[in-house]
Amino acid sequence: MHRRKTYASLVVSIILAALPYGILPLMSFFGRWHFPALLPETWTFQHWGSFLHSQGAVGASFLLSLGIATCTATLASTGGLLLSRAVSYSSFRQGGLFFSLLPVTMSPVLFATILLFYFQVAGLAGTVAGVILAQMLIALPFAIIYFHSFWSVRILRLEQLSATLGSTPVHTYRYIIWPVARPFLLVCFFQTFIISWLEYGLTSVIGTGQIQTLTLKVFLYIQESNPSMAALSATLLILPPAILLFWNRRFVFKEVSL
Amino acid sequence: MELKHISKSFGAQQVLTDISLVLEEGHTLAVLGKSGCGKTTLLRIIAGLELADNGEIWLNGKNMSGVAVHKRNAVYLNQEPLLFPHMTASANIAYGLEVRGVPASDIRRQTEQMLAELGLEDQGHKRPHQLSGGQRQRVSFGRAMIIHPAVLLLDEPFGNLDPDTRKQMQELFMRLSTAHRITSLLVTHDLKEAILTGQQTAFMESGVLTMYPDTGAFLSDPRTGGQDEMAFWKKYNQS
Repeated sequence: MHRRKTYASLVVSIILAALPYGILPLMSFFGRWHFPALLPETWTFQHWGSFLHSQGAVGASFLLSLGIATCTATLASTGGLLLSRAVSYSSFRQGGLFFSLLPVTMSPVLFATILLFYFQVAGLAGTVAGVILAQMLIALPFAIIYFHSFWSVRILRLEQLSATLGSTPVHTYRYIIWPVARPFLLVCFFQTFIISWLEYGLTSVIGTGQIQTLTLKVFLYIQESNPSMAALSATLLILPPAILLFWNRRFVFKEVSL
Repeated sequence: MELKHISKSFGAQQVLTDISLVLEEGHTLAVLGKSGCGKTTLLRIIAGLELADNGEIWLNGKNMSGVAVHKRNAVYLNQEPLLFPHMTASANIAYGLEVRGVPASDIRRQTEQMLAELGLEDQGHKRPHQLSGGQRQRVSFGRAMIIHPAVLLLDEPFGNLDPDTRKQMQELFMRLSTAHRITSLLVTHDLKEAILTGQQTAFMESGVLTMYPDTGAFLSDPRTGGQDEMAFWKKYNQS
């Protein structure tokens, strides 16, 4: 009986998790659909056609989001690895971790509103660079905290061993630390990519409405009561994380363990 | 290798007090001492991983004060045979040669030769997690010795091994260090290991190092436990 319940719970969980991947693409083909009809009256490829064949707004937002998320994830993962080392091996370790946690604990919209003035003064408000910098304020602390567990005594000993064998710090990073950290870097890249990809509060405030990422587009279409375009945007929104998750499953968890 | 008046303290605690010694080239100095006597700190200072408060370190006639760790040619090995986990046994052994820019053909030849000396001819392709504790320790020795370090610093290297493997490793270490004329400083808390492995012997207590002119003098010092050990075996044989 207990086993049957577990099995049923598992099946329900899988269905619920997979539901967006089925419903959202389906909804993106909806044409005319008026209340109180349960199903749409017409089906259309028009939305996907405009996305695939023209320089439409969704396509541009998709590419913009991809660029911003890739930049943020790359900078946060590599920067987080190096900064986390400095925090982990310093005498200011506890304080460093505390200050790293501070930006993550605050509401992104509130945080962005406080920072907007400084971004405007620096000429970064409403720019892609400004949005990347703003997202880094959340992604980088996450990466620092994530890599904190990586910088163990064992890694320090590996570094020291490499140095006593004649390796320069740069060579040690390239041939010892980087390969050993690779699985951690991949997971961190995935996590920070998701943070950036789905970020709404900071992006909308610091972007001042001029930087229209895909997440912002989904909300915009929902506000406009345009379910088909919202579904198309949402389908595109769940695609890259799903692909990255698939890569993670296949490669990251099979990497060398320490 | 020569140490001149090395001192070190951590806060108010004096860890090393005015340590001076001369170690002949190709010799092994075995330092006996209990845990916490300052042995590890001494090795780390020689390797450049810790800074001494006072004193000088001379390796091959050069003052190492202020010289970066990677330029000292002093390899430090601790109790755990720490291998690079993403590399094979061969790649681990070859690492120091690659760092020095040795041509690939020479690296291959020297690595194969070292694997043969270590008795690991057929294990070169294996990753560290596929090797036994003793095999990992051999690879660790081979990786250090292949670059002919100015001094090899061994921090209780056989402490984690079972008695049989420990004996084999001691023999292997003596054979390799003699064959490659490696100057070594080995710290241990095992009296027999100190006598077996060291051409020179010393005793360390509370950060103070005592050097002995020969093994007889080393065993005669009641602090080393040599007299107790001999008394035990004498009594055992009589009974």
